[in-house]
Amino acid sequence: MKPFAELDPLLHSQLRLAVMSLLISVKEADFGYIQEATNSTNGNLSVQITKLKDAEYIEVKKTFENNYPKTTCKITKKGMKAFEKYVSDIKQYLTPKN
Amino acid sequence: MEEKNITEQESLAIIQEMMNRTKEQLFDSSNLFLLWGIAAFICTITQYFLIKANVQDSEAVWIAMPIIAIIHIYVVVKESKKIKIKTFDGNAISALWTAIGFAFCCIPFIAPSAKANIIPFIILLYGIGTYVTGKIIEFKPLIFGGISCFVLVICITFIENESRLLILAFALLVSYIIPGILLKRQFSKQQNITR
Repeated sequence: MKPFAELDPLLHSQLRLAVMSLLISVKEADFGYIQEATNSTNGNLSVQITKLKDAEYIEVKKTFENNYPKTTCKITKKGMKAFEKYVSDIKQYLTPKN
Repeated sequence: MEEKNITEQESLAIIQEMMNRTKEQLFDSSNLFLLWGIAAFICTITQYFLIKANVQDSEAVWIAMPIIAIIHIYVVVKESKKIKIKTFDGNAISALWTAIGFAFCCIPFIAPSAKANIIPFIILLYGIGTYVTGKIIEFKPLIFGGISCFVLVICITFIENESRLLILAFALLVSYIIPGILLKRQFSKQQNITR
């Protein structure tokens, strides 16, 4: 039996996976929107976004709008590949083949 | 949500839930359909009656269109500030209508040299815009409106000059105004559900 691939530890976490799943289907999303959609706290989301950014899975752009800081996140090609691999790996766990 | 490890089943549930969230309609484009639809409808009907009343230079009613374009820009800028997310669909629709906008601007320059009536070209552009938008956002009234425009373009070849304006008004009604009203209703329903 083929051994199961090890799941990417960076993605196999509730909040980081939610952020990546959200960003995979959009061009870019505002920090506030991600926070609302994932129902997470500001501090926790910032930490997880930094981890994804450091791994180059997402790009974070900080701008100003009406004198207020605005943070937008966008998935990178590396992030897309990692997400696709994660989904394909997870399928092995759910439908194991001999 | 927090930073914690999850089971494989939970992973799939999270992916599905998050992806479904982005499917919700996030930009109410019905206002733009209604703005252009109603304005052009009024201009068309007014021009028809001016021709019937033998008023010269009846085309002057279309001077209102640049004003509508300014209102359009104002609405888009105002609405875009509310947008917290940019989707690929939204980008495609925006590019489509920008191209159609450029095509509309080209028509008055091409038509005299081609010695052609511009109304069929206008209806064709309405048809392309509404059909493709309808397909992208999976909204049947827009798809139906687009198809109706293509049928009307064929019908218009059998109709005399000023009566073509009535066909144009009908095209606006089925491709912009009615789908715009239905789109607005759907958007309000979605907003109430997600609130």
